[in-house]
Amino acid sequence: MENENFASLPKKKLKKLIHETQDVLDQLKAELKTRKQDKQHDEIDHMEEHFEDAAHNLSNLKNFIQKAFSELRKDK
Amino acid sequence: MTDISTSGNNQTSNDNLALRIFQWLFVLVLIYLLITAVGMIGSGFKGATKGQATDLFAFATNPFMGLIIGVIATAMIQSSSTVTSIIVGLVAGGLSVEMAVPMIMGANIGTTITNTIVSLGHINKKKEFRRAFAAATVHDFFNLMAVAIFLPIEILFHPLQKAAGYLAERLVGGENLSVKGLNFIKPMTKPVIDQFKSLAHMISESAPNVLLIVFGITIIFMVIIFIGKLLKKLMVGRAKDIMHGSIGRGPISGIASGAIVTVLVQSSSTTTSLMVPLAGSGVFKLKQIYPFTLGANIGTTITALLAATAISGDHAILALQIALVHLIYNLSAVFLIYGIKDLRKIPIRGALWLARIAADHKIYALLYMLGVFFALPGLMVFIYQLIA
Repeated sequence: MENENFASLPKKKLKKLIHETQDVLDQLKAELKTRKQDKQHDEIDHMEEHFEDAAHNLSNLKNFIQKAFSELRKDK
Repeated sequence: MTDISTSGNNQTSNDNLALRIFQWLFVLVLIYLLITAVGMIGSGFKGATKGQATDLFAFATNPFMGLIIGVIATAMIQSSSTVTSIIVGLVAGGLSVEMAVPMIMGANIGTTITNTIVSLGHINKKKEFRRAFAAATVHDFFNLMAVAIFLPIEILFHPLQKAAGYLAERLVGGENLSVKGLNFIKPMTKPVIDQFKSLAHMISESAPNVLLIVFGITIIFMVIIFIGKLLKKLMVGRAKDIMHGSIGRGPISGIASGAIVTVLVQSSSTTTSLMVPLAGSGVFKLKQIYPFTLGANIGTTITALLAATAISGDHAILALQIALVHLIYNLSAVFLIYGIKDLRKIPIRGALWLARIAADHKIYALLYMLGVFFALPGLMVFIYQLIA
């Protein structure tokens, strides 16, 4: 909607429009929040896998050291 | 046919129940062994030093040396629970609480290396690595800040030692609020400790007490590994429920759930490492992870408290005092740093900054780890000795 349209609107109508828009905005925010939280719940449901991943930390370190040094050699 | 399948299901469920009961009994045995091992260290240390434990640890009168011992020992074995339990045993054997306080603080720093190493596993995806590394190092920054604030104050005025001493006195030494009932632990652990003493004497006539300490440390180390693995299996469902419940409920709930999950799995490293992939995937924001890791700091203090119940007699108060120092220190750090908005933001900013640099140049991540966990404590000892 363009500004000219707003300018021609009566104050009462404008307030109503703000209210409606605010409602839609709140609903959209709530929907977004719900989706984010659903994703978080999904991640938590995979906790066993995350425990497993966390157990291989020494091989992580070895891999990381190799990659960090190969990156360093490339940079040179 | 239906009857057969129902009876099959019942059989499986009975087997599962039996397995769970067996696993829980094993957890109880492990806790008993942990308490016994702490008693062994206390007894061995007392015997080895003949009441001169403070002289033996004279090099740790420099509080930064105590700190470095705590950092390096914990970073090497990746378990603050093991280190704090050993410290409780040493205090029970005569090490002064004053010397032990920096070691406890060091253990807090050392334990953060585990989740930092876990975050390195996300190296293949730059964005994911940046988020995971930030989630891991926010814990480091917080714990470093806590030491930077509390250690100088402790060196000058000993507030943690005094507060813990007062509480321990009330709990163990006082007439009214006494937990003298816990003295039943000694008759339970003494026969096993005596067996190990005899074994140590059989193996070595010249250094049985040192051998007893070695037995104690080995048992604690093994117990912490086994108990961690078992509790992960047994408590994963409960931990999930707690985490599900904390979603969308704000930071206090995050701190509480971090503490409870850590108590359930008996390992702050496990809890904080668990947060790393959750942050790496981008589903959880750093602001959500941060309070959870602080809860882990609080929850992990339960192990030292548990270990302190192993000690009876004159040193019971001191053992409980050092365990309470761990609890009061972590609670105070959370109240102070997380409670003050400007201070709260520092670990987040530090972690984000470091993660950005490390994502671009991975060598900085390695330099950071070597610096914080090994070089910096060494430098502090050097500077302190220069000043002293």
